[in-house]
Amino acid sequence: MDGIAWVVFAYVVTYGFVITYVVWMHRRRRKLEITEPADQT
Amino acid sequence: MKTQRTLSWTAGVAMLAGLYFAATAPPDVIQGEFVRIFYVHVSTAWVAFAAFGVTLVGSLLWLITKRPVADRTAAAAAEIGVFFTALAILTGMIWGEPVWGTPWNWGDARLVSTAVMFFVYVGYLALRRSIPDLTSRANRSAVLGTMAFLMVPAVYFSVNLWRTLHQGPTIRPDGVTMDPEMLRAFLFNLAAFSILFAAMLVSRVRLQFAIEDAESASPGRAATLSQPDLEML
Repeated sequence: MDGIAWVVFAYVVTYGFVITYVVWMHRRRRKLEITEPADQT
Repeated sequence: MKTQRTLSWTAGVAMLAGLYFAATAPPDVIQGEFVRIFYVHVSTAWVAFAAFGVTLVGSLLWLITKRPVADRTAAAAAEIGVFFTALAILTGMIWGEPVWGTPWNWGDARLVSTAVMFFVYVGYLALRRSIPDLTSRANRSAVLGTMAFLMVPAVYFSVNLWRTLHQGPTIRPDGVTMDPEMLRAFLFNLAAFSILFAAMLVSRVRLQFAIEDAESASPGRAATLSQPDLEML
C-alpha cells in the first residue's frame, strides 16, 4: 500500500468505530428507555 | 437533551473540519503522507487520557459525596477511555507498519505501558460488571478508578524515561518544532476530538443512568455472581 492508502485506512478505522459506538449507545439507551416502563408495571 | 443535541452537532461539524485540515496539511519531509495519521492517533490518545481523568474525578467525588452521578460518570468515562485507548493502539499500529516496519514492538516503553493501561481499565469495567449491588460496586470501582489513574502519567512520561522506538512529545516546554499548518491541523483535531468526547460522555452517562435504573427496577437481571463468589470479593 502507498502512503495515502494507509492514511485512509487509519481514518476509516477511527471514524468507523466512533460512528458504530455512538450508534450503539444511542440504540441501547432508546431500547432501555422504551422497555423500562414496561418492567415497572 | 438540548445540550446533547448541540454538542453532537458541534462535534460532527468539528470532526469534518478536522478531516479537512488533516487532508490539506503539508506532508512531512521524512514521513511523507504517513504523517497525517499523527492527527488522529494523538487525538484518540488525548481523549483516552481525558476520559481516565474524568474517571479519577468521578471516583473521588463518589468516595467524598456518595452521589450516584459521580459513580455513573466515572463508569461512562472509563468505557469511553478504553474505547479510545484501543483506537490509539490501532492507529499507532497502522502508522507503525509502514514507518517503523512493524506494527508492534514489545521492547517499546510507550506501546507496552499503553497496553497495560488498556487492560487495567478493562479490569475496571470487568469489576463493575461482577458486582450486582450498586453501592458496593461504586465503592470498589472508585478505589480502582482512583488507583488506575497512575497509569496515565506512566504512559505519558514513558517516552522521556525510556528512549525506545516511540518518538518523544511533540509539544515540549522548550517549544514546538512543527510547521504552522501542521500545528493548526493538529490543534484543530485535538479540539474536535475533545468536543466529540464531551458529546459522547453526555450520551454515555445518560445510558449509564438508564442501565442502572433498569437494574434497580429488576435486580435479578443485574445479578451475575452467586453469593459465595460475592463473599470472595
